Amino acid sequence: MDPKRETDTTGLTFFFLDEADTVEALSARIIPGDAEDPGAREARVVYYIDRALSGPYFGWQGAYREGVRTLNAYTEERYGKKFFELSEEDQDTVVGTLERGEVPGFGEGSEAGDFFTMVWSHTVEGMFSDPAYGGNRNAVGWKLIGFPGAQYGYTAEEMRYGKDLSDKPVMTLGDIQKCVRERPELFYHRPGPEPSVLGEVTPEMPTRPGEPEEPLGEGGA
Amino acid sequence: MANKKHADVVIVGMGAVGAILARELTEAGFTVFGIDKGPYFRSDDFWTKFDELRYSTRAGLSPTMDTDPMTWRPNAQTPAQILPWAVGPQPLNPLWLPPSVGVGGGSIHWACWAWRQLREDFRQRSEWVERYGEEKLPEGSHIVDWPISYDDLEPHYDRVEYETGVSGKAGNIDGEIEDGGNPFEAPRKRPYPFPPLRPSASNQLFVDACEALGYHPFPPPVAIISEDWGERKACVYCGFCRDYGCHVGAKASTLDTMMPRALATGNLELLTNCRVQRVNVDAEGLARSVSYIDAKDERHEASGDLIILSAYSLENTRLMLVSGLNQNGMVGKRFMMHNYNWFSGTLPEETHVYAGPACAGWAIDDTNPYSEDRNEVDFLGGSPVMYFSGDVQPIEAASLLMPPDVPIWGKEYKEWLKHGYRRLFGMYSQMATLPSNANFVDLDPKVKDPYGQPALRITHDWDDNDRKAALWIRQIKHGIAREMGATKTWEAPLLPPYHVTTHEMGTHIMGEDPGTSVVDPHCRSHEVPNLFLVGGGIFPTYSGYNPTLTIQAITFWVADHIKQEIQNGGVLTRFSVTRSA
Repeated sequence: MDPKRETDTTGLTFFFLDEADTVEALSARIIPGDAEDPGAREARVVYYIDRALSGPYFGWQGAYREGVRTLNAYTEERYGKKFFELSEEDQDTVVGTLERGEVPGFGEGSEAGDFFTMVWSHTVEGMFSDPAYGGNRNAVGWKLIGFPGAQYGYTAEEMRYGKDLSDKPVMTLGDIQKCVRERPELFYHRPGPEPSVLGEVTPEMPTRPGEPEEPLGEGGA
Repeated sequence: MANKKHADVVIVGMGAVGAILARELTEAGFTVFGIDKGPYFRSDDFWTKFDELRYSTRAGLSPTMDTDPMTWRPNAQTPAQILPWAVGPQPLNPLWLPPSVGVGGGSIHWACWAWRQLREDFRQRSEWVERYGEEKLPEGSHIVDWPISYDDLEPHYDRVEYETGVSGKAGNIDGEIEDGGNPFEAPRKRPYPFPPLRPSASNQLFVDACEALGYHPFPPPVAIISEDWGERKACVYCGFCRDYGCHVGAKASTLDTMMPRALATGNLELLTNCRVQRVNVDAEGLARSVSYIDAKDERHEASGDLIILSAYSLENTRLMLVSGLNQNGMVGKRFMMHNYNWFSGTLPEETHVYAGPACAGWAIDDTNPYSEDRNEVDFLGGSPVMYFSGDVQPIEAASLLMPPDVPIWGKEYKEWLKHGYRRLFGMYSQMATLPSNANFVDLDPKVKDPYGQPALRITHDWDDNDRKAALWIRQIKHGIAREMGATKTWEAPLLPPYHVTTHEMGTHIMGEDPGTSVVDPHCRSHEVPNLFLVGGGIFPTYSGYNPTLTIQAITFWVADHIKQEIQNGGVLTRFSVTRSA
């Protein structure tokens, strides 16, 4: 292996390969795209979902495993192919059927519509969450909609109605964290002792003109 | 602090209220235990808060159903379920959960609108009866006058504004109407300590439209400083505001405004990540201690001569019920909240709705309940209309704010996202539910939290008054949006499918009559003389304004009372509340 080659981090931590292919194809119907006009596939939304499922969303593992299996059983029956093997047009037809809760086999209390809602919600998260979570690769999701990301702040000039900010460099959480390390003085430092470190000096809270010097007494009866 | 097991005062919940009480009472020389379910955040903990998924979509600061379950049913005839809008794969909205836990509580992540109530809001019954007659009060409602007045609280409102840092433009100083402020506001003694924030430029379209329609737009008061103040820096308009801590200390979080001095006294011991399970009352009917579970799941008791519950209206009430403290049956009653009537739209050009705080948008208060004759409309209530010009992040926009006529998948969805997000604007309002017997909270008979504690059960549904009020204010927003030249508008459902709003009021209401209220005019429990319940739960009626400033003013009012009572040898001294040397 070439030591200079960057390590491949697209390994899957929960999905089996055909599950990833299925969920990736679903996400690509939800937010379609291609290399020139990225959508959920190009944003690597499936990796967001995969990492979430082996992490905080582990409770949804069963729903994905069952849902993908049921969906592919339906498409095998109807088209002789797995969902991700279908044409985009056929995939769209199936997604419509799924959204309406009309794909059979999902069982009581776990309708096809619920599966769609879940994949959809996670696709949106994967498209528009910080790239640190595995999706929104190269901030393509943010660039699509014009969101500049994790910005420290905006100037009055930037907040003018109609001003195009697409040239403003997009910042990720990683970027702002670098800023925190390099420029801590830009951030707020709470004065006074922290709990369990009780100092002897009472910090002076600064006064504004007109601030009462003594605590006010009880008003009214 | 000599003795860990006992303090003069035990405060349960160190949020928007508890931290104020901690500072006031420790500075008065009392030893205090400050207990909170959540952690103590250091200021650098929020330096990297720029993460919508963590703090908003996953409600990173809020108590969620897995650790703090609550149930809801629309009426007593329907079985309750765990809050349906707070479970499932869809994005959470922290606005549909109780406020955040941790020292600072909801004041860490609030949106910071800092209104005072109107003078009339404190005497709602008298006002409406005078204007419309008693017949107009809806059947089954329990609209009353507060036992305290705006004038009682005015000096305390002033304190909150000057001590925590509120930015705004006064509209009425001592009866003189000031240009550029809210002409309808109650009279105040002096200007705000800080000038208004900078709104986004689409705000000007709102202002122009309102003026053209004959309304009186103004910058609302907000608890975000617009100029540097000591270590706290002025707002930098990052747009990660509501749902997030502040990386520059501009937001008035009690963590920053109250805790430093409280900690410096040496009289405060913080018990964080501790869940209070019960208030323990002795055979003589005095509160003696609270039982709590610490972060290691070990059980403890913290005893005090004075016990204060300030853990949010709903948690205060849950603790009272779990402790068996509901002699007169009023605990849990008069559950009220706000209907936000979210209204969204797009404008022809870029609005930068991701920049700046939402609360920097201007507002009109012509729509308050007392500024115009409501005889021709058949509802009671009113609310400002607030322009929502910032603070909207992508995931929320792409999921919770979608226009109902735009597909949520496919090419059209992508096109909408591409063009719609950058042109987004919003308006919202806060029509309050009326206090009635139909809406209340109690303990769920089945559902428990992971520690075996009964969950709170909410019984609430929107009623006719809510519907009519919502329809009325919706058409006003439509009028403004039309005048603004909006290219598209849409609204959230008229009556929301969620029933928790971070603006829950009532359930332990204030009143002079011990038969029909839970606490007296100083928030002391009628049933247990050394127990206080402070927070939105004491509101006997609700207004159209965000409640926090009023709650914090009442908190200063209560703190002063407690201090003076003890100083003057009042009833509290019977319970051996002592000062440290």
